[in-house]
Amino acid sequence: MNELEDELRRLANNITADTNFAANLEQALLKGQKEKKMLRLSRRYGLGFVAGLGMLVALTLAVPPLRTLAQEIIDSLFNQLDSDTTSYTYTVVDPPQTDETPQTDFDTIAEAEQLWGFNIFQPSYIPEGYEQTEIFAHVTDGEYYARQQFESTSDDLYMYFAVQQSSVSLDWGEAGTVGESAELIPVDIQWGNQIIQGEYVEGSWVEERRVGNPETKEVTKYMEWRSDMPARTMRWRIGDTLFVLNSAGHPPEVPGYIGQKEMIKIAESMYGDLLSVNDGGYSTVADAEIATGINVLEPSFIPEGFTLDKVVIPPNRNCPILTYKNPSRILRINQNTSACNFRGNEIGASAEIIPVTLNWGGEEIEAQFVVGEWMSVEKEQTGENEVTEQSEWRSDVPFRRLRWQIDSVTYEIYVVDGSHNHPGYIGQEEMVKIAESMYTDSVVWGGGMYSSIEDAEASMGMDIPEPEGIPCYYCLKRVSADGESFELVYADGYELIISRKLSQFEWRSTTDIGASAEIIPVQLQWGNERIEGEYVRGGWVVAGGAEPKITKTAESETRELQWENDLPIQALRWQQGEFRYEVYVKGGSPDRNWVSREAMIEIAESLY
Amino acid sequence: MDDETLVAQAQRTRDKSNEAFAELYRRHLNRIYRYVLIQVGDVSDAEDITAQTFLSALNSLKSYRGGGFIAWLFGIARKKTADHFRKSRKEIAFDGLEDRSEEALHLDELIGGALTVERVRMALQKLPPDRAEALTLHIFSGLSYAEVGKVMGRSEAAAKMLAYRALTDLRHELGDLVEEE
Repeated sequence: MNELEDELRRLANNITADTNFAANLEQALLKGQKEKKMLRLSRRYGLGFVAGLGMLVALTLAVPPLRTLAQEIIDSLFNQLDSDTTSYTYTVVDPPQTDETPQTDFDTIAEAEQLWGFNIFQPSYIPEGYEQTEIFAHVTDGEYYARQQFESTSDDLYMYFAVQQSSVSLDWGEAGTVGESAELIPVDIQWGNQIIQGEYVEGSWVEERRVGNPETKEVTKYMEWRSDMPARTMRWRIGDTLFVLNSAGHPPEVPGYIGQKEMIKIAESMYGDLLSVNDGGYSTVADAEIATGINVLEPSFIPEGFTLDKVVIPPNRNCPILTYKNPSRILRINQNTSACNFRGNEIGASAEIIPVTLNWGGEEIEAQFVVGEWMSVEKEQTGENEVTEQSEWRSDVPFRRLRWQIDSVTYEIYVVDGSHNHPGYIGQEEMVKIAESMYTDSVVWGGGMYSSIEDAEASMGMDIPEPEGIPCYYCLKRVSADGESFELVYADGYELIISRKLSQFEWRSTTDIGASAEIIPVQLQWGNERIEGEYVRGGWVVAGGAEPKITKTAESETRELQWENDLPIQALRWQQGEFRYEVYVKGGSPDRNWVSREAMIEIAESLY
Repeated sequence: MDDETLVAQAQRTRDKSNEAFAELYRRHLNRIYRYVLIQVGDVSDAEDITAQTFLSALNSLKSYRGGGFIAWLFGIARKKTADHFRKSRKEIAFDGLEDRSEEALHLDELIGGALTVERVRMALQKLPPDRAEALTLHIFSGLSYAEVGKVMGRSEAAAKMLAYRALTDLRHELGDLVEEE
């Protein structure tokens, strides 16, 4: 034993960090270099643009002189003037140019939030073809203002939209007003469980002339309201925050046009940001754990398209919140829920609790699945500074929770919004998969018991063949094994699942296939033998296309399905001895990340 | 000067050039590096995680409230390493296999001897995680059993027992090599 220990010590003493690396790192530390990687967003300037919106941008960049408006203007969203001409006078103030000038332009929302200390709402839905190009934030005399600009990525057409939020009492100058002829359209914005009324308008002020007084440094702009200008603005208010969304460019038939409908969608997607507690957050689980010393379980499976937005651990509370987003949805994982007052910790008496079994590292544990949410019914002013909100539990709204408990700690996966017929819908099954994948994170060394084939083999005392020919863009996410059957789940956006089950069990993917499905017999080389297998491509989708055939009653939901042969779903099955084998691939397209039938056969044969 | 005094100095300093922290860095660099390398087996990854560990420690130094700097620092290294595995589990198993082996071979050529980093790493991976970690912290990073216990949230006796069992397990995996030597 001592000999081995000595040899290990000798090896250890011979391992030293490279001297260049050590010196460079020391230099970086002495310079106080930040760990955070700086994200540079591309900027595009210099394009001439609609006069009215151009002025609005100019106004928001002119830091800081902003004044308070009268209460009646604060209470309205747009202030409609009684004329289509107006003037606006402002004083030119040169911003101080010293080293102490506070930063107002940022590369990331998190940096802006960190410096200025207020929550900046980010839309999780960004229309296709747009990218974020600018983040501006500022606080003056306690009044906050933030602006995020998104520009079209097309080189041919320049279009943009911008999201602004500010203290409701900030003066917006002419940008807060509209002309007499402007048509203000009331719009309903679904803000979580409430409907917020906003206003939408098309058109803008166009500057006619500008007169400056060099002595007083006052500049007066004379403007005319024109409803035919290709500019659109929507405003809404949440508490003391005013939101303004504007877009510009091109008629509705041009791709990338952002009108009323898209604006509402963008606005509604900002609600999800409320779910992140307003105290910053960390960009990785490791950062959160290091800063707080609290252990956070991270799932190894997250549905396609979702990325970790942030990890929030409220001060002095041990309840980590992981928020994942895709372009239109929010997925949240709450840990140790009893330590925080989460909405929904209590559910309504009418809520249906569906018992679900989770596989927690081989052990079966009970979980509960609930659909529904507390919805605001009415608000009543019950005192000078007091509002009483009445809520009722509704089970017909698309909010879903899966809860389970490990060692008295409650975990919850919470999905906000999304309906069955939209792509990327996360239902009970996916939520269970996410939950189960969190188990592996409880083991630190190299990833966990069932994160590798070897671990599963060691734990179950069985041999699992390591498949060959798995495309390099698939990652092994999970290994399930029970001593006889096994399932290897590879995924990276798409899914590739290899399974072996005893014959008395169902196939891994659906057994029923459509009448039009083509079953292609394939020959597999299984050791020295040639054996028969079957290949099928296609899958079931909800019939009806844009108007899905889903019949809902109070108790049930019926979906009419139709088989489609060209879906990117492929299954290769064969039976050998007492086992059913299957290679199942979901995703990709024939011209991108496609796992061909031949490749599936190669994987299958490697299992021998 | 002991670690705690240096940490107190590093926390107080307003100077960007934090000499006290630099001294802590020089003192513990190789211990962290060895701890990481023996787990990830790849020099570049080990350097990356080591750098992340010290940069993160420097940035969050103000949150250190005593109780053992070395345990706190290794706690960071531990999380950074776990984070690395979370993110690159598959890349290591498939894409990076050849590259890593080459780098490991190169490293092992330099070190020489019956045991190689790669062999030890592979053998440690077969052990129960807590045993492997206790042994790595004690032998490769030179932590006392009390310090190992602090890092792992175990008692000193438990840390000692874990490391002892790890050595026993390793003997089955590597014993022949040592005896041949």
